[in-house]
Amino acid sequence: MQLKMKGYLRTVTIALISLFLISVAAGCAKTGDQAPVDRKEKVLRLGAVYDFKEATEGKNLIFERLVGVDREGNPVPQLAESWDVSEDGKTYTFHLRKGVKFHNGTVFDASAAKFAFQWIANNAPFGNYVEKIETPDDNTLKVYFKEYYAPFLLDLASGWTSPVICPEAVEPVGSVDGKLTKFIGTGPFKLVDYEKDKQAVLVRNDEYWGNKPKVDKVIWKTIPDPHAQIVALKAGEIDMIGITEHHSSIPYVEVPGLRKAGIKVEETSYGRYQVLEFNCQKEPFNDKKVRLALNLAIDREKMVKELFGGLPEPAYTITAPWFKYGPSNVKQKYGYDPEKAKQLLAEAGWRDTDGDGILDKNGKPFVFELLIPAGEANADAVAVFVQSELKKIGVQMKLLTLESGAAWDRSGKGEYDMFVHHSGCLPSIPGGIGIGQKYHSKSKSWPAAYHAQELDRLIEKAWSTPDESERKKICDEIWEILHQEVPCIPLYDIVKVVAYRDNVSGFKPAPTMFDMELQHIEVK
Amino acid sequence: MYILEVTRGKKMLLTGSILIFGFMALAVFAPFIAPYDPDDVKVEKRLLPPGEHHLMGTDGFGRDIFSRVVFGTRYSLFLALVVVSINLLLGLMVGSIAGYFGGLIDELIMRIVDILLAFPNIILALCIVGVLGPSIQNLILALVALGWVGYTRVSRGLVLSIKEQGFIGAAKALGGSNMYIIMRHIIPNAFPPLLVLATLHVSHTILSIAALSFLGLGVQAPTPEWGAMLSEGKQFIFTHPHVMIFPGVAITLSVLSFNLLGEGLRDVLDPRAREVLNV
Amino acid sequence: MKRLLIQRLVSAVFVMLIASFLSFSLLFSAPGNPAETILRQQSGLDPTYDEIELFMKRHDLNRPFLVQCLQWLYLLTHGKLGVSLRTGEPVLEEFTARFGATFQLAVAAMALSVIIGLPIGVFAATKPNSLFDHIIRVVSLAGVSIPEFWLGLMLMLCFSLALGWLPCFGHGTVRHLVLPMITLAVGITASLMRFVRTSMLEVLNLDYIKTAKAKGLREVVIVWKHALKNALIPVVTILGTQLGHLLAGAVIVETVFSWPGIGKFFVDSIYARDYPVIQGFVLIIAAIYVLVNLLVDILYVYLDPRVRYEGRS
Repeated sequence: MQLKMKGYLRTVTIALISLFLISVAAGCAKTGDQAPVDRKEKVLRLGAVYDFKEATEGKNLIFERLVGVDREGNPVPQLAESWDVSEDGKTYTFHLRKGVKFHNGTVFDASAAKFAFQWIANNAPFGNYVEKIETPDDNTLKVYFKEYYAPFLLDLASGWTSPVICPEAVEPVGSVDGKLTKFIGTGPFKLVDYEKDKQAVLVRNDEYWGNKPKVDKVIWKTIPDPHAQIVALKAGEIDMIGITEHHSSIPYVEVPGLRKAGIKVEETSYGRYQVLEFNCQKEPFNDKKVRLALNLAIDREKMVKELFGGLPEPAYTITAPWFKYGPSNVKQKYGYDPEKAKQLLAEAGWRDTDGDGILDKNGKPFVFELLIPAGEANADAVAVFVQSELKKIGVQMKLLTLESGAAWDRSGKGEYDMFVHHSGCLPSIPGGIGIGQKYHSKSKSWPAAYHAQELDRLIEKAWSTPDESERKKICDEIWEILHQEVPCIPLYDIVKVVAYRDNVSGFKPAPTMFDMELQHIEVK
Repeated sequence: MYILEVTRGKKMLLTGSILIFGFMALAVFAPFIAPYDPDDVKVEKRLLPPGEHHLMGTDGFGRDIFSRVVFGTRYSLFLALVVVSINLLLGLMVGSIAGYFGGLIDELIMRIVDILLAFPNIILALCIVGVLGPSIQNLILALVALGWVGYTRVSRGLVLSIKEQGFIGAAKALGGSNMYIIMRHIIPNAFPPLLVLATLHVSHTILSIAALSFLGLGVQAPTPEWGAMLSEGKQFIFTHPHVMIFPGVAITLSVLSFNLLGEGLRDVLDPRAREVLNV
Repeated sequence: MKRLLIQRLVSAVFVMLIASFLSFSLLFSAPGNPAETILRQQSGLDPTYDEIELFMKRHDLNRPFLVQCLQWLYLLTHGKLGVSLRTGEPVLEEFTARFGATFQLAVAAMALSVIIGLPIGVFAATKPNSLFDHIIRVVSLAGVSIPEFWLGLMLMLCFSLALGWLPCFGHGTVRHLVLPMITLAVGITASLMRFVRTSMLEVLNLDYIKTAKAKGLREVVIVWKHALKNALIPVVTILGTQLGHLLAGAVIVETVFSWPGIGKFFVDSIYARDYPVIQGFVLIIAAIYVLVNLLVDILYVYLDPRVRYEGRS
């Protein structure tokens, strides 16, 4: 092959330059999402960390549920206007809302509800307990249970578990085992355009049965980096951030800066506390005194003030007391009392016998490891703070951050001394006191949490009685025991922070952290 | 102008060496040079800008950044040196064997090299750290597992070219065994260019360690490693950029110093070494 | 030539499969369970044991290691790469949906680096030890010493926040491309300048160049036609490796600038233990590396006639 010497260099140069220009031009050819918006159209642009289809919050704009839930955990009507529960709690009769249509025009009636329910039941926790489903008329759905299943209504209120879908939304069409491929629901917004990892465009559902949204369009823009989101918000490229993630994606430390820049910031508590779980099954935390001592050694007020600018509230109970079955009765609070902490530790046998600043017992120093799953919000900052607090009472805490898969693997096996976690929130049973959940000994995921026979008995009793006031009484007892036994160190309330520009008004926080109530929002 | 003369061979070597010596001194004498305890958390003093009490300001926990940068030299430098030494020895041995014996052994070894080159190093790092837990030893393991490959290629090339040059033929004619030849002839000849490569590789490794720590896969908090400091400081980039600026400058300077050393060595050593290196 | 190609193809397939197998094995043996991680991330709550079991059953994750491998191979022979555990979409689709962005960034960064770096490196070599040469050497040494992620963030700080000229995230217009492209290009350009300069210096010192000079050929012709061709050989290797890395997704830059390429998706899939995505992506990336190496080798043939006759050198 004879090479044309002259042409070769020229060709290469030209090729390179054109390659460069093409790739740059290709970028322009793609969707110009900076296209000017039609003045008359009211568009709300949301900045989101996750892709629209990956996030439950996205789904919850399109799909609704049979029942909703309010802030305290009481089921409220949504697609079911009302319902009756039999005395024994095994039969539910849902009276469906009339005049509801799916986004593609299909009527939401009893047969549609039945289909949706069966599809949901395939994956839902209550699925195994359902005996049969009946549709006595076009607006009624009856569900029969084999045995009483207490969390049923809460499960129905979860957008992750129980979205009411249209038969055409699955593939193969109309199959209760089908895969969800199209986003066709009954919600206040319709999905009209979607680009993976980039953005999703939703428009108002004009046939919506409830409060119709005031904005015409919502654009969900995927911006994975929270700082980039903040910059974009300040620059006016998006209108609102933080609302699309259930944990807060906006770092608390940014809030004062945002407020100074004229951005409105609202924080809402959903009763989700960041806690440090003890391994109650082995040394050194199998001793209640030690657990209590550590609780008393941490100045939570100082922590939230210094680390988070005072934004979240410090937490002194295992979960929020204002939940329906929350620890409202508990009087004991783990305050800040380092002297008492030292005293308790001494009573438990921990003294500094060799003068190195670290307590010891039977020749072993008080050294343990805190396991932190990567990605747990603010965990690093909190860990370092707690480490320095514990050092003051002679306890040495080492930090181990593992990427989340590995960390949860260990927690599931109980291989930790202390673990950074959060207490549960709606729409599941907050605080994890349900049957088979954290504090129940049959829990398969938390073998190292605090367990006791009496606790098991109470938990089972609470969740097998259909009488709600009876349940409340038993839950009160459960919380009493748990707070006496100190299974964890509650730290602070992980509030959800939402920031928006001043052209946005009407923001109302939703009852759960997974939902967004965008109907009232207006954009200038 | 010294600054421009810096890029002349000998001056480069000199500058690089001085800088490295400086960093080494920082590393070794850190406890005496650093004004504060790098792990001393004083939450009231967080995020102070550089000023009279704190040369480089404080980070998100009120820890003095200057002290942390000084102690950070220990992790970045020593770790990198350890990793590169291991890689060098390993790669040299394997590459020499491949080049010397040729044939099937050579083919096999180069195949393995190809596979490892096609391997995204993030997966390896993640799995090693995930399976074995993040620690300094495992970080070294992760970096060594893929790093020896570069030296293998070069050693092999070197051996092949040395083979052409008759030393080996002569030694064989005189009755030397294979192992003897490899040890006495090949390795000493291959060492100088490999040393240059290694020096340059140290800078590359410092960057890798920082990158992995930045991603959370390397040294764990609250260790004052530069990459980890960058990762911690990232959240303050818009409000308190100084937290990120100083560790970044530290990384750049240390990497630069090793690059200067490497380039200087290359200029000063046998020009034939350069020729071989470029193959 | 033909035999070379076939040989390379065979070893390429071999390399791809082994790399993919290794990735899967490593990830499989790492602690952590895809069901748990994915469910936890998507639902926001701790998944119950039953939910985990159900997920594992649905996606055949309960089968033993070898069976899963064979299943995947079987799918592969039918031209399918499986379905992502996280998104439920086919792996190939996840790749192609994002590869465009990665490719764009890679090519733009590479082209920019070559356009700037190559001529400067050559020029510096023709005027060794001049002021220009010294400046270039300092600049290039500095350029390769800067950590990429730090540079990206500093550029963002300067141009996005302080000056407000450029957007700091996203994808879609030329303005979005600028910062990530420059971040990547700085390192490559600096490295390229050094290599080209060193390589050219050596070639320029060779006898045949001196002969050409003595014969009276014009300097420009000597440098740019004869010398460069030979000098490019090692440079092309380096560029090939760089391109391979870029095409595999410059993860850190993609994360810092929220660039929707394959790199970030890949890393997220590792954390989620999304086995099919990892296996598929590693396979494709290995194929890309092999392809790039092949192109480099073909370029060798054009640049160095010796290679043509001796086979692999």
